[in-house]
Amino acid sequence: MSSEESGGKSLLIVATLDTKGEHAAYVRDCVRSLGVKPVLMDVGILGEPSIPADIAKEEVASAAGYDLKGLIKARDRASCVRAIAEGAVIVANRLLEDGRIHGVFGMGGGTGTTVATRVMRSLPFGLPKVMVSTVASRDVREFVGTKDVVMFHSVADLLGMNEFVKLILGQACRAVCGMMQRGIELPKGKPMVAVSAYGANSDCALHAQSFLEAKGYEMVAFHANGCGGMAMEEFVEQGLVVGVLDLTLHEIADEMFGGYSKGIGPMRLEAGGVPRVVAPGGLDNAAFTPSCPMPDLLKGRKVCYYDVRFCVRMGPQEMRAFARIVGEKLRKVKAPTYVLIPRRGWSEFDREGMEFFDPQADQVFVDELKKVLGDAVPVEEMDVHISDPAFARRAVEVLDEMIRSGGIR
Amino acid sequence: MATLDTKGEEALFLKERIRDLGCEVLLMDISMREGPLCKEADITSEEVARAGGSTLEEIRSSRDRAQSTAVMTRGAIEIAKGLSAEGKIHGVIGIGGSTGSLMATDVMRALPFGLPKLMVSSTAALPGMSTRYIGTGDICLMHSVVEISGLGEVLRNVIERAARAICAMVETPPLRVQRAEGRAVAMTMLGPCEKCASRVRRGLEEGGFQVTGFSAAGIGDRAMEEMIRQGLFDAVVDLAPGGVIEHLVGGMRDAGPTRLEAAGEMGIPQVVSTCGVNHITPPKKAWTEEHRSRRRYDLDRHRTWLRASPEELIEAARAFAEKLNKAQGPVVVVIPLKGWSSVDQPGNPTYDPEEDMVFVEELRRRLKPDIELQTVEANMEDPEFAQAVLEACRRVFPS
Repeated sequence: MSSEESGGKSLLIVATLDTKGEHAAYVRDCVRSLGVKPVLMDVGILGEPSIPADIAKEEVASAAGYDLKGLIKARDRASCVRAIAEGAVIVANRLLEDGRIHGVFGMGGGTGTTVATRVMRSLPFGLPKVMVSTVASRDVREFVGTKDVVMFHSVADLLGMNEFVKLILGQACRAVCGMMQRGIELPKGKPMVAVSAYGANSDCALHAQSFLEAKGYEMVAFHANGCGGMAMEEFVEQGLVVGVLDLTLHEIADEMFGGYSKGIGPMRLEAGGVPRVVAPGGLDNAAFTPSCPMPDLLKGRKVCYYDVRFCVRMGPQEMRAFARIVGEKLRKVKAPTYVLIPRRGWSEFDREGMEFFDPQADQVFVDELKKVLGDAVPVEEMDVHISDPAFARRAVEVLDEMIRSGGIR
Repeated sequence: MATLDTKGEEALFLKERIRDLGCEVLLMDISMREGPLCKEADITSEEVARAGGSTLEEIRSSRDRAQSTAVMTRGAIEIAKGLSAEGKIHGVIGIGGSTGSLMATDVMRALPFGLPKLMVSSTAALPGMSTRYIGTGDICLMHSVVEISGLGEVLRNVIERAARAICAMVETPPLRVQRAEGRAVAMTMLGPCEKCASRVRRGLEEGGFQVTGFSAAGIGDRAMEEMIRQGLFDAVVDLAPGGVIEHLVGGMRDAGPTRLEAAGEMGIPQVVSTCGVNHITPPKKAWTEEHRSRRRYDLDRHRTWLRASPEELIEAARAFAEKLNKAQGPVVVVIPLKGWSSVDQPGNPTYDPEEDMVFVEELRRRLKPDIELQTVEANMEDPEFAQAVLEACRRVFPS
């Protein structure tokens, strides 16, 4: 009986059934007792599954065009993992498209976590995703990425059944089934506008919020910290927002110098499809910490101490480089785009009267950007600081116009 | 738990949603400034500051933010532990950015294992943060993706899911400690000795033992040492003490300075082997030229094992001997001579059983004579080796 017929919801369980069969069986029975239909996908490689799978590992690998048996024979573990992971992503997305799953559950150690979270990261925001992992306490950045994955630390290893393991698995099953209850799908209410923000440019976002709301939009803010900017691009790709106010480009500076908010991917600034207003918020500085140290080539620059973080003023040379990066990206974007520049400072650190105040350096960025963009994207300058309500008002006005008319070009 | 000065609206929404789902809520304010919604707390930041041995006035006027955070955290721990001991709370949920997540998860780690703990954090995916938030605790970490700032539909959806999750989690039957006296075994393992671990576990279970496994990746094995010190185990099978050599070289599986010592301190029997001890995993960004020139094996996209140098093996053997020689209980070391894990296979670049002998010989020289060191002509993953480990267990574990 399909889940539609049963009227209930189905949970995709991703596990290596050769090594974690016992745990998968416990989870299967537990979610069933909570009224949810389990769909068991085997992503094991080493041996035969110890309990029957709904989707066998050979089927998983072949979805991505791999012959698992051949790879196992060749004893090429890395290729096996790749094959099973690629296949699992394809199978899971197919199941979701067909409306046959309403949540994902993973459990495993290093390899199991790698494969299952790769599946989770490929699925849309809002779909409940719970991962019970022995390595949850490691750096989970690569596992979670820009998605709403819930990581459960198993503390004890998923090896054999005991009361510790049952307790954690039981909590995780209840959590995912709880999240899958009816009525918490993303609502289709007011049109949403994505806004990039960060501490030193938060006033701008707050002003933007009130102007957006006055025009009937809702703001969804992303922390431009290396991960948030990328999450915003994915929201754009997923079609969740009608426009972007990209008011914080600080990540571009940190990416160049290995700073605190590094880690953006090539997609940053490039997701198309909806209008975008871009402003260079926070691009006046790069931020560093003891674990993301300042490179030697920035020695001697003006520095501003924050907490464990400290900011370094960017000079004309960097401004030219930033302009080229931003310009090349914006030329590529297939959507109406508009650049808005505040002439009196781009963050809390470079207001008039403060040490970072340096409109001449900023002007290098503007001139170079205009050169790269040519006629492709309009650039407007305003004689205000980025935190001035007038700046946010103009940004919202331009975006609103682009959204309504489908473009300004 | 939340900082109501900045996340008041969001925390109140969370409280309302949890209430709608039929749970009572105690909202604890851990903020250090006054905000418009701070009065809505059931446990005010003033009470928290007092429980931490200070006053809110003092906190607010202090310029030492680190000190203030520590005081507030201490106070929140005091209050939460008291509520938990009195049976007044059955779960804990936190919502916050960097500061809120650090404080709330410190509180969670001070609460008993098994009490549901959910942290909704906008900084869950930042480099290194999850390690600080979770540590050795049974904390569940939910990435909010969007900023916890302004109650938009997306954030409402995240909070709604979190509310449903924690309300469902508190329905989980509590930990039943049905421990057979003298039969609780802790075992470390890693993926590359999974077969051996399964065989040993099955063998021990047949002998009436209950086995709890811990991943020896630097956190699980640390948690095991803590739980051994709490008296939760009667014997240890330490298949993968690689955290010892990793501590010496600064690898990612570093399990701290006291790894491999708790069982000895408690005087419980331990059987020790060497999975992963001949490899190191310094973070890639810390690789030196010399590291780059080493033989290596890619476990998967995230994990590369480098072959340990003979000097490192000798140093590791000395550390092993020093730790095991202090043990108050019986110790048996069992080492396979044809590779220390599934990574050590003929044809793999890091396979070098001859060089492994450097460790074996140094360890033999250094160990006290009453500690048995047994070698087995097999690979770690061969059935004969698991058999040898089981026989060693039979010799020294409680009968």
